Amino acid sequence: MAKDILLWSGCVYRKNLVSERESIVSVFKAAGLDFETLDDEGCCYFPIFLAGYIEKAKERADELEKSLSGYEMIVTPCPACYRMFKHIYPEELGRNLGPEVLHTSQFFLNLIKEGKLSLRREVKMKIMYHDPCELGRHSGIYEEPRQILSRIPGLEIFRPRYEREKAVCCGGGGLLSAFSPSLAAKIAARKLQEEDRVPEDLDAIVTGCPQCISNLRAGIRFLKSKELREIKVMNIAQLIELSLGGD
Amino acid sequence: MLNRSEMEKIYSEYLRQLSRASADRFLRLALSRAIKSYRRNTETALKLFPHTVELAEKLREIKEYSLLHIDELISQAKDMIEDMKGHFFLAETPEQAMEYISDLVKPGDVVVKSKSLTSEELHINEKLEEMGCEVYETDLGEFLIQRLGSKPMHILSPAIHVPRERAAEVISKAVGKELPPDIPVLVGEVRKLLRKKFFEASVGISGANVIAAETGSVFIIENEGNARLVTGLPEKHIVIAGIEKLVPTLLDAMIAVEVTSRYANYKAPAYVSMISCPSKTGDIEKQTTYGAHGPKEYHVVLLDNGRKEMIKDPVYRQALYCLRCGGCMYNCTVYPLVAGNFGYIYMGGIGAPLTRFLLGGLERAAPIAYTCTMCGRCVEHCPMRIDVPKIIQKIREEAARAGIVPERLIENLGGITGVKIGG
Ligand code: SF4
Repeated sequence: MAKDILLWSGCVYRKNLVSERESIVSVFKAAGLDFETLDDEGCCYFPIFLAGYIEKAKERADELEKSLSGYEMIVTPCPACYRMFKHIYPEELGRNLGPEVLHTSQFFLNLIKEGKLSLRREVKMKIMYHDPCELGRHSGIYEEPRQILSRIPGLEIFRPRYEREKAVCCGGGGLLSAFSPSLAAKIAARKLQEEDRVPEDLDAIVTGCPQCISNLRAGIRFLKSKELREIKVMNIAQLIELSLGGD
Repeated sequence: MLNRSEMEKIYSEYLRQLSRASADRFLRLALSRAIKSYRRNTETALKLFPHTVELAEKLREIKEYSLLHIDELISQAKDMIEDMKGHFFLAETPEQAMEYISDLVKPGDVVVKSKSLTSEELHINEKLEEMGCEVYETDLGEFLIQRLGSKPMHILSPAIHVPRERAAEVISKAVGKELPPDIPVLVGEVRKLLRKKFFEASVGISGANVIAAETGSVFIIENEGNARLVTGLPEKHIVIAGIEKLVPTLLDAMIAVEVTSRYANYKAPAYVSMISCPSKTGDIEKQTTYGAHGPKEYHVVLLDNGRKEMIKDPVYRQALYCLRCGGCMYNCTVYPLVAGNFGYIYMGGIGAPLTRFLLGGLERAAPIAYTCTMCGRCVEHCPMRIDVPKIIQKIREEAARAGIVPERLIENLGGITGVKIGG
């Protein structure tokens, strides 16, 4: 049987966002899909590339080619992995890895449109969608996450002052959260307060990037009021999960 | 070449500086006010003159063309300037430039300067002071910075971090009397002090925003009026600029002036000076005599200092399109927390390649490169659409080849990705 869909989680989901990752798996299952995961997934090498080690990234391409061969499609919830597979390997490093690559937001939206996922339960929350830089400005994916969220009944959507191409980075990009985690977190706090101007009655920030989730959470601790510090940060799959089923 | 442990010291010191700056509440306030007013003014200016956006696209083409034909433009400018009785000098290194300038000043000279970032590459103030000259920065922000011995925190508003109380202390000391923290009073006192210096000065040094090769004309954009005095009153006027300021024609230069001012948040700047030669008159018997009311001697010093090397590389070349409008910084992810500390002398993400090639080298550029979040938001706001993330990536690749990727970064990455990178 053809191994068709590979769910590629990425390092941050595997190591640090385990329960958020489970929501992604649940959504896959809810759609009744056959999919696989890799036990020894390893790193996409985007961070290694970004640190400047392009030769090491080129070397990694050989291994990846092997482990990804045979899959028709790679679906990943991590925009860094997405960009690495979809753009950096073929466009910057001259290595085409083979399978089609989709971000979970694209993949889930297709499932919703095909009727494989039905978002029927009301989710009474006020949320803001945060555009991850890797997904938005660097990969051009702005619409799909928004379309998914707009199909969830009951959801109230707060719009930040700057969105899409002009969206403000969470501060965790470009490996800053590895170079100076404290600065990255302070940037996140400033972004939420001064650029997005999140309101106190916001329940959650929803985003499509595990790196953003981690760094926004780190930043939220610095916000000035208790209400603001209670804002949750969730991925798109968690919202979908909340809205599945029902009637 | 670069020593790893020394590099680690540079990284640590740099991060300490960032952390100090990000905890400075006054700096935060000052920056957030500046950002707010910049964004509002720019939006208004662009709304009023929407064609600026198209002009900016055109200017990018002009800049690219100019860099690719730089030798031609340099010799064209040289010929014209010399033909009109000015002096021209192309300096390959800051040392050569400094040597040329040293011959034009003597100990005891009063030298007045208007803003010129490029002159920092020469460390000109220190050098002139060592020679026994009295050097006055006349742009108010630069005046404050010079006296504080601090480094500029923004390319357009270097003293963006100095509150009025601090400014009052500095200016009180300069004029020798106690002054209140009242901005108009302070501005008035600096005006009085510098007015004397403008007349005493034998040398005026300015930068250039753009230079038209066809006539050799230098354009200077300003609001305070100090550049007019610096370039108009002393006997000698010296222009110091990078070769990347050259564009082919006067019309091209005007486009650069318009785009630069708009993106620097002005509908129109108070003054634009166009200077082509020493002052002259032919009013008596049609005999041209140099040194009428303006300078008698006019020197244009163009600096290479690594720029030609940058031009050769299509990624780094883009950094030379920079107009120093400052827009990227006001829309940056990192800058609003730490100001010019995110930089060396040249600052912000765009500061990294300039630092790498022009002033500081890879060891000073790498800390900047690893602080940039590569989010690309500045590209959306840059009139020249300079791809800063791509440039930053290239600097990081150089750092990796030189074996100076920050250890803390390697360690933290290893923790998440499981990838071990040795040495
Ligand atoms: S990089 Fe662009 S936005 Fe920044 S100062 Fe230069 S021209 Fe202006």
